[in-house]
Amino acid sequence: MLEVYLLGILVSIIKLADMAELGLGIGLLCFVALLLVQIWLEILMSPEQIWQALSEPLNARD
Amino acid sequence: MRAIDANLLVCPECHQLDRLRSGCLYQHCKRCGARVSIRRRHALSKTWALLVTAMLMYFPANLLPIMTVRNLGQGTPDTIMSGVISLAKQDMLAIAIIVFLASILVPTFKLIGIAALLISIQKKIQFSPRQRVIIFRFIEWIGRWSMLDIFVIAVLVAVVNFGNLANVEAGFGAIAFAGVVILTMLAAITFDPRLIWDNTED
Repeated sequence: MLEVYLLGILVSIIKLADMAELGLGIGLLCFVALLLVQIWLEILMSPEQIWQALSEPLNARD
Repeated sequence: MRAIDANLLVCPECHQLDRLRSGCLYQHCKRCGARVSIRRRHALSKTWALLVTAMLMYFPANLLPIMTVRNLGQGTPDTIMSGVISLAKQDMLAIAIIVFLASILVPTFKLIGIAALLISIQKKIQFSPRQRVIIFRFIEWIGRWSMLDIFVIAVLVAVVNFGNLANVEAGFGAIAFAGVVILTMLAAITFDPRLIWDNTED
């Protein structure tokens, strides 16, 4: 849902631009970075592998 | 071949296979403990109920104002469509097209798509499983983009609050529109995609 929210922020910025003076803060930059890292994480993470590791008996792991 | 024909069940959470135990409505996954059933009970009637409610909310969502922007005490209430038109008039065609897609086309196609999917499963005709899968993926993936307008209203109401100078108020149309989006998302979740392949084997 973060990407939808980002687009929402962009649309609101454009709607506000003719009404008031706007400056972009560092928070927006961090938010975009968060979004990118989260997408990267979703690409890298493989849930099957994690479930596999979790279902192995405890003594087999050490 | 379906898992049900091989007496197997797949966990929806962790995808662990398990033998089907006879005589109970559902069982718990051995690995993660999630509730696993052959087919979700009453999936079709629950999805229909959510879909009909969403269809009823669709009319106030499009006809009632979603927000009022007040600038120095003046301002007219905007419906979804009048918002798109005013964006287009202000030479912001790209944004107008995005808002039009997300707020008008997507919810409309979602309502029609879910209805078509349910009817084709109940009447066992019209669409091939391949077409049904395409409709289902479209509905599941595209649905959340409709939340765009709700987020815009939320951000504007929170940010633009300068007393009498300028403020933004959300209208009842916004509540109805959020209702449509959330209900169609719930309908997509409640729908059991395994039903898509059920009566196609014979």
